Amino acid sequence: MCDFCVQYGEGTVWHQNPKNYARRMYSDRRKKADRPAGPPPEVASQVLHAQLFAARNDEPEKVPEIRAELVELIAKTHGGQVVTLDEAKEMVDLASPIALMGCVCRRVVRGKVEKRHEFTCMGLGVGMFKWDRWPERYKGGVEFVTPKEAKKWLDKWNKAGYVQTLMIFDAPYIGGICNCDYPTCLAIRYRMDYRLDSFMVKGHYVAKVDLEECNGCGRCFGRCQFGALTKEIFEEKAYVDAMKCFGCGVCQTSCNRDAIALIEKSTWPAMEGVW
Amino acid sequence: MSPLADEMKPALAQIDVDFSKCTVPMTCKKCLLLCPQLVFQLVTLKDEKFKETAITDAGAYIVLPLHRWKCTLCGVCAEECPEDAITLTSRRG
Repeated sequence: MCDFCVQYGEGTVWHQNPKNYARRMYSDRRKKADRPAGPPPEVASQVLHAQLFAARNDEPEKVPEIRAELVELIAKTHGGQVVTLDEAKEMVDLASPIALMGCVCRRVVRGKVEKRHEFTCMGLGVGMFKWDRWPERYKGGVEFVTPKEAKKWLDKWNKAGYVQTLMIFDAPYIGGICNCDYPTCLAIRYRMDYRLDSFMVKGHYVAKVDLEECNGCGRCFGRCQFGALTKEIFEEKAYVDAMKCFGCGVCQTSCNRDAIALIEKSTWPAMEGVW
Repeated sequence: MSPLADEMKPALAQIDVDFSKCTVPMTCKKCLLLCPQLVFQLVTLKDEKFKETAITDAGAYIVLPLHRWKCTLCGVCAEECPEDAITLTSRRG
């Protein structure tokens, strides 16, 4: 079980718990007196980001301290977790409404403003009715879809190679399914390049290659966004490092010999603490 | 991340963007598109409720070299910038 399941799962996998889709995006409904002192979490996060970049560029020795603070803040506010294609499809059956939109990471990283037919981001929950309050975040508008249509989009993104991830907007509220890659997904990049682990927590599975079935065809090579799957040159087969694997299953869906299985981490005792 | 991730080195590259020359980065975005190391990131300065900011709005967006430690000093950004707004220098002198 991951930390999210322990805290918000109520006996189930936390993203299968309908309660975690039932709150508004980023609205702090606590009474003023109950809110933590200091700046709101969005502002605190921006300040810490700026400090982290400055430290990484010029004073790396200061990075660990800032990183620890930011990791803790992100775990409570705007982290993400890798999910499999099947898990993502279960999520769109739980959450309503479902809206497609352009990816904000690709906009700030590659200047890409996605048009409707090329959207790669999916918002979930009632917050989507208020998207016009934050037009810069949802530039280009949103398009509401049915769960059936949403599943088709998820298939399309998975086939293209994008990793499905859930996005948290003020934990435990799940506000969307992102379709990520390295390096244009900021969450993955912050985890891989800055080791901000709470930005993109590993999923509940790991990929396992069946070395008798794998014929080294190479369909899965290059699909791993986490550097976990490579070609084992000597055996001429796919190799997955379970300790690096995030459990997205993007390698599995490309295999036409069923040579990659997704194993539930809870069945491999030593994987229990690897998130 | 490499196994030696804890041995971080400061950035060697100094990258300066002249915002008086680069006023509408989203209409050009050459640095964002061409940087092999994705050093730059777009930052929105003008963000109004219920109102989408036009990409032609001068000063609404800036590009910042946030991930300067990843820069290889290959020079493609400075070379391709149509406004000559990017200056690259090495801190090693």
